[in-house]
Amino acid sequence: MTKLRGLIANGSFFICCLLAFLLAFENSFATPTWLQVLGRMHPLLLHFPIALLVVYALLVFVSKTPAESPADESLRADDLLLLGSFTAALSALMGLLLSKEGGYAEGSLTWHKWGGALIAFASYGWYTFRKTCNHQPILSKGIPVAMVALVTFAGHQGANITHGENFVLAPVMPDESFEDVPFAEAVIYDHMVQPILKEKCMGCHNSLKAKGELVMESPEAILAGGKNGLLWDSLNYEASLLLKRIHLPESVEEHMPPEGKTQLTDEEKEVIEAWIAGGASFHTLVAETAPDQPLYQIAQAKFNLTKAYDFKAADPELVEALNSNYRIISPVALNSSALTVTFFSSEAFASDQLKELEKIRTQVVELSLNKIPVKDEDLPLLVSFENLEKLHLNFTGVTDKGLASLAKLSNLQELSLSGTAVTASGISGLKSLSTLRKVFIWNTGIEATEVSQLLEAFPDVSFESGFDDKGTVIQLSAPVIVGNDAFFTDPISVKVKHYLNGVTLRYTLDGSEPDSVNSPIYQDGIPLDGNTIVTVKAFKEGWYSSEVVSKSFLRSSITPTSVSLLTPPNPKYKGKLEQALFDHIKGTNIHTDGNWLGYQGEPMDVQINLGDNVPQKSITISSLNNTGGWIMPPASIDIWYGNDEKNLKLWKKNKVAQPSQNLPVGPAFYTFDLPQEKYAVLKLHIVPVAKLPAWHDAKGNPGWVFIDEILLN
Amino acid sequence: MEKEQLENGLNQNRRKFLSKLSLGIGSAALGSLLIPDLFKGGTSPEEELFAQLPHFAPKAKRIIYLFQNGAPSQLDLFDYKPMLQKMHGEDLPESIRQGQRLTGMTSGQSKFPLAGTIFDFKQYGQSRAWISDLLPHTASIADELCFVKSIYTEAINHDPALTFFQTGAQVGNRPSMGAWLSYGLGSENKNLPAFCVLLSKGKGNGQGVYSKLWTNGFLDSVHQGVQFSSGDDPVLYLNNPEGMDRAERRKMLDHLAALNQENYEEFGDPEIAAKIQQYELAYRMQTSVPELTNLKNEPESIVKMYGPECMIPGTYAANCLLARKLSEGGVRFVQLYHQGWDAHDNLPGQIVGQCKDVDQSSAALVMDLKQRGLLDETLVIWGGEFGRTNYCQGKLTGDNYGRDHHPRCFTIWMAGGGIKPGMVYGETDEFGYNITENPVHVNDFHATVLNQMGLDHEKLIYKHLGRRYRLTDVAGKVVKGIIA
Repeated sequence: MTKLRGLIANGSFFICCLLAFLLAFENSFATPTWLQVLGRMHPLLLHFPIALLVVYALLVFVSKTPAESPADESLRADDLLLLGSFTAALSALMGLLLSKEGGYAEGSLTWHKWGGALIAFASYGWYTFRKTCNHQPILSKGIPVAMVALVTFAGHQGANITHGENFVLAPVMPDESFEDVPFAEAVIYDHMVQPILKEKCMGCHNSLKAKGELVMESPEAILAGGKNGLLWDSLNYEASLLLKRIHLPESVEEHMPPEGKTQLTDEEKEVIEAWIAGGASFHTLVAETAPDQPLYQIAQAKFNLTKAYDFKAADPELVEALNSNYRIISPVALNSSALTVTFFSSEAFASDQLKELEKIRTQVVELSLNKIPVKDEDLPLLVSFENLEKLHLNFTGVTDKGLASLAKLSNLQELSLSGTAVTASGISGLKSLSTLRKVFIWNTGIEATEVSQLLEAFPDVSFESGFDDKGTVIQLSAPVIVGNDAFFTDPISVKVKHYLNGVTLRYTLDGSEPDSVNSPIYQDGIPLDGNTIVTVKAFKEGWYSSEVVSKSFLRSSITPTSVSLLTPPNPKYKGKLEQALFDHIKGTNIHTDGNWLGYQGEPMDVQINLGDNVPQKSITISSLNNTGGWIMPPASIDIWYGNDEKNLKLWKKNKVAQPSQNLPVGPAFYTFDLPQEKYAVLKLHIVPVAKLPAWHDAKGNPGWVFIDEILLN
Repeated sequence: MEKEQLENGLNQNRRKFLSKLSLGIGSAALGSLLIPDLFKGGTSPEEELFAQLPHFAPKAKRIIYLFQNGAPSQLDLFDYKPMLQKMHGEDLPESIRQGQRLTGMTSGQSKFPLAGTIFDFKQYGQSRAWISDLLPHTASIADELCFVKSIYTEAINHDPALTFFQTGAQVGNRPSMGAWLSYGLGSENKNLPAFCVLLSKGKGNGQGVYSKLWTNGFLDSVHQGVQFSSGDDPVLYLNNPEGMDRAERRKMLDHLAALNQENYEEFGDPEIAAKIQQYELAYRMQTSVPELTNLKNEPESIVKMYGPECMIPGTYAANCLLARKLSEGGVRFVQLYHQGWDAHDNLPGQIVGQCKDVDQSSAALVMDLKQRGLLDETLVIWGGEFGRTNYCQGKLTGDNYGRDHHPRCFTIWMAGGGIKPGMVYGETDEFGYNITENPVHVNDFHATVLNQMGLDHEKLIYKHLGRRYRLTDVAGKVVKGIIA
């Protein structure tokens, strides 16, 4: 063990001497290539002396004075010192070799070199002479501590060379991220380019290392270029050295940053390229560039688009207190001191609510009073809202008089006055508002000629006068005949409505088209007591009259005592069976709605028992047409009558006219006279079309018949 | 050995245990300083969301989404491809299709004959955007619109595609876009829901629209979309039951709230708090909704602008007008659906009617917002869930064809809300099959929409079942090229 200690001590001494020698003749020696390998291991080894010497100092510092301490303990500390001294000397030697490779700036390097050498000499010296100071605690403890200080100093200088200036302290230095820089104030170089250079380039291209003799720390240094020349060519930016270097494939040696270092992202390359393409100015604001350029767009995502204001935010508690369900106050965005205020509900408004806002008048930048009954008298109050930028007064009671009091809102940019009684002369009074950009004057009665005069008077302002129908005439929408009850028993009154105000509705009851002169005008309802087709059309001055709407109303004044289906309907469409036929419910155009009885192939035979209620006038059969869906008018409808089911006479055989093309989907009614005599039973024999006609897509297939109601009068 | 174990046990006395423990806790405490979220130090993204404020100053405060459900044919409306007319009837080259998966409706076809549109196109506005003659009103406001011709999706059938557009995921149960906005920004008007839904139906072939599309998903139920219907009761169950007046209602709600509050204090279930809020909102809506849904007081010029159909409740035009009123009234997100664009066959016949339904009123909505000074702060979006194929489904004749679903490219337009007006973004190949320039994925679309509302799509998150969820899930890039 002692032998080993001696060996290491001697080794240490040897290296120290070598080191001293080389330092003395530093300018004369060159590192042979095989020694360069050794030199480059300097960053690996240097951590050993640091750790060993620091731990040694710590042990010495906490232990009792060496004289009193147990032998083995002090021995251990001494071993650390010895090893520390040895590795320190070796590291210093390697560092010296490495430094000869060049590329390192003076300054930190000089300090680091001499610091390192001093550690090597001092630690060996202390190892040799430590015992002589055993009885002077100040020296025996002070010197190790001083050595730690020296290690710290030299180490820090070394770190500066490798990682760049201030590597250690950077995180706690003032924030250099530009997230909160307002977009409008962002400078391309300062806030977009320089951060990239700092992060990805200055590790080597700083004034200490100055790789390739290029320093990027200041605009002047960048402009000066490096040993390969200027970084860009302002006349031919695409051939610029800098762009060439960053765009070369990573495997090429000239590529920057070098292989193995953190590379530029695509966006970063884009920023640098756009900056150089745009003239590589060090002062241009991003906002001054064209908005469709990539730089502008990247910047928009990067910087704070929220406009920054000089004023302080209002007390959140005050804002909270002023908020109500009808007056919403909120910051423009997170961390913004500006407030927007919106009033809702005209009924809940009172002028005092506006007055209460005076407490936050500095912060309000946007105030919306659309459709709120604000009057001219309320507006002078707003003069004190010095930072107001947007004011919405659509459909309020504001007139020219109130407008005059807005002339002092020196930050106002946007003013909405649609649907108010302001005039062009009132708006002319706002000339003093130099920041004004947009005014909305739709629906104010300001004429087109006046608008052009205003545009001349306010060259910076756009006036939005909105939709002008220019006298276009369009067709009214069709009126609506209310109610689905097409069948009725007692006389009814039919209602008709139209959704536009001021429309005249005219109607007929005979199926003819109403005209604008003679047809009766609809008032409160159309009284009906029999089968009627109500036809309605809407008229209004300045509009084309509507399309015609008609609806059939069928009376069923007699209810039979019982009904029975002699042939069952198709099980898929059996509705409510015989009950469906006299329930006064009209089936819809959808045959599966449950109100329809469907027959195919088989005829529909119905027996109606009348009791004493013998109809004298007519029978109506309500059916459905959906020819595309094979639902056709019946082929024939035969009517039988008699006093009981066994004694029936044929009253009429009726062939039903068949269509020659597809019919629109909708109801169809077949009405027939009835015999003028006494009888108690009616029987219907309704035959579906056996084969769909030749024009039909499914010709030859059996047709359907759908019946939902039978009406007796 | 045993003795050592025993000694070791005896060595673990209370003092040692406590001093070790204090070290352990001390180190954990020190470590915790490095994890700001751990004990809610500082403001976490979740806390920022709680403030329900935009992350940065928003361009848009509200959105009106005119969803054309069923997928309108971009090739007959916006994406003009003379090549298809030239090659009408010829087979789609495999080099273009590149094995793209097809729906079950055309995958069996032996041929894919290209179908050129039968409608004429002209160029409009400063962007020289091609627009079909089917949309004259839309064409007349081309300078207000930003056409994105290169939007694409992965879904190939209606329901997943629609769900993807609405919720950012093809399967259901994720919160809808409107719900996310309600969650992120809250309601602007405390008397109306933040998210409203309006439905209408055209005569064309329709596809289903289900309430899962406006679901709150895993968010609080206050963020759910409220459907407005066209009848006398625009919002179902809002009116007082017969025999109950407003004062009585108030009294009943107060008592109910007291009971609910008691329950909330006991169980702490946030759904109870949500319930109380919803009852209160409904009470205030009893007065605010009738005022809004009454279209009768609209001036005649407005009716002429939107077309006379806007006075008929339940039509698309009426919904556009109502959407403007809701938006003007402070509803953050108004979602319209117009059904009937799914023209697998007889497309020329169906599309005419669909365009007639939506053209005038969609354009009118944009201009109406503009004349009120609201377009700058309202984002209007018009589009379907995917596009339609350049080849014919079914029988192709000279003037009749059908088109199947096409997810690879289609066109939507946006207006207002800080989107560049008068521009065309993205390009497709001459067959209108693949995107050649500036593709915009559904996730990108969502990221952009949120961005316009002042929200960072990567920060608008909700933690659910141990995972953080976003509308854009793990993707999405703001489309900077269309931002003004």
